[in-house]
Amino acid sequence: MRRATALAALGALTFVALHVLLMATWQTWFHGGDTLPPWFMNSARGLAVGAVVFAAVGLCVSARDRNPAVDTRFVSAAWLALGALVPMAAVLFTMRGGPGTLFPIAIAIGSGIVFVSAAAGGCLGWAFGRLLRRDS
Amino acid sequence: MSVSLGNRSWAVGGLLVVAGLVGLASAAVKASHVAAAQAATQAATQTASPSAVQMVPGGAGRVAAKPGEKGATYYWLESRVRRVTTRFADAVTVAERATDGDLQTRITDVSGNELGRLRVDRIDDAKHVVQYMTAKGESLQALGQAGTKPTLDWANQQAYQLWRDGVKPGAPLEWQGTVMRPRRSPAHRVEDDVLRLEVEWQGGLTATAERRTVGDRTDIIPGRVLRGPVVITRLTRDGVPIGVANWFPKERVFVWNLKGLTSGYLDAEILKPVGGWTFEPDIFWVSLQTLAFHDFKTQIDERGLVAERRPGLVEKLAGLIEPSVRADEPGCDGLHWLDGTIFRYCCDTHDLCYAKFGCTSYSWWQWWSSWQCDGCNLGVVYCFGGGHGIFSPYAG
Repeated sequence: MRRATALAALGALTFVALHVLLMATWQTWFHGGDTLPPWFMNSARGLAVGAVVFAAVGLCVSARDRNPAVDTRFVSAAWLALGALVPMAAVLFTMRGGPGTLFPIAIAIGSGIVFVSAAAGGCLGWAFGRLLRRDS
Repeated sequence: MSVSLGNRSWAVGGLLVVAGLVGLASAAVKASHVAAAQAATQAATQTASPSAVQMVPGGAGRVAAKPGEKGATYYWLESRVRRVTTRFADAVTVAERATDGDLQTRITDVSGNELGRLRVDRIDDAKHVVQYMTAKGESLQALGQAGTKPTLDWANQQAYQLWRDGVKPGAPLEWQGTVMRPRRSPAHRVEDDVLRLEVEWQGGLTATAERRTVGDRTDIIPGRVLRGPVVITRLTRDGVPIGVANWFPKERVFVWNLKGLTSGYLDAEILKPVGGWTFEPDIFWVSLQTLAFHDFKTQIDERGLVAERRPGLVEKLAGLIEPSVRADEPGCDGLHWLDGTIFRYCCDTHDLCYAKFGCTSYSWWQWWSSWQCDGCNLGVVYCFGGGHGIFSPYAG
């Protein structure tokens, strides 16, 4: 349970860090303009960066996981996504313009993207781990 | 009879007055003749002189193009078409525009064997030369019809007609409408032979048109039955469907639906203020018009040519207290990376639905407050899940 909580907290922190990065660089890196508020799913580039960040986190978590079963990577990804869900909803409801008329779909798609990215990174970490163990 | 001095004076005076009046009248008549002559000369000058400016009086309305011909906008749009592929029952013609604006058409049979080539060499805006070569290398060259502008669609039809007529060099030709044919050939409309047309536009847009016949359709325009032959044009971008348009020639109704951009219909009644259908729409026009709708509406959306509603001070202050629930941006709220994708249609339909029934973000969890809003929300979930969406009235 402690591990699950830690993973959820990590997911939440990662999302907050991602959002801070987006806010700081929204005009320069993401060309967000004035019409749209900084939000990772308001820009294709933002979405790509978000996916890469969560994949990297999933990879790191997977690398530290000693369990040889691949299933645990999906469980870790689910906890990371669950943790990210809280700040994601908070950001969506408090950002300029509000959550919009599609917020349940936005939250569902956002969580799905976080989960799939983290799981992809986790699986990659698991595959690397297997290769390394085989070599040693 | 004796005349006294006094009477004589009156007589002379009277004569002088009469003479003066006659003189004045004559001058007046002369002046009016001169003015009339000047006006006539001016009018004659205006109509006769090529340098005279022809004035259009206020309230004269729309200046019509030559009857039966499409306007300048049509040719401008046509000039942006890159390639037109026309499929007939026994041949396929592919016309392309060269970099210098000349047109080239290749005719093949349905298996791809070359049957002939046609080239349109544009001399200037009014003149062009048509060169046709058979598969055996026999060629003929003719001056294009004066006053007509060759298009890629026309080049395909002309090439097909020449091949079908088996035209050989030296054969006397004549114009049948806009198509050249052997002299005294029986009348034939080559446009009726077109089975399928593919119009390739800039930016990966393609309009594919084909002919079909449909039974009674009441779902396309509510309260109206459409039936019979129909030209169905499907618009795709990089192979992904983005819209459809139908032309019902019998009913003379043009209907279109470009996902997330525009939908509607035109008939003679709607076009009455501009003189109804001033030309006979053909299969190529249907494709070009569909592409034009997409092009113009996309530009309006991107450049913001349409007036945007701006909130007032009271609304802004209210927004500080209740910033979120009424927010409804154009496109996919919170998912704007999807704005350029096929999902944009789902978002716009949902926005329209919300606007129609006065829904807000609250409608998602206060499901008991409005069944209509629940319908909007279910519709968008269904649409995102791969459903066709709420509005799907089209044939085929």
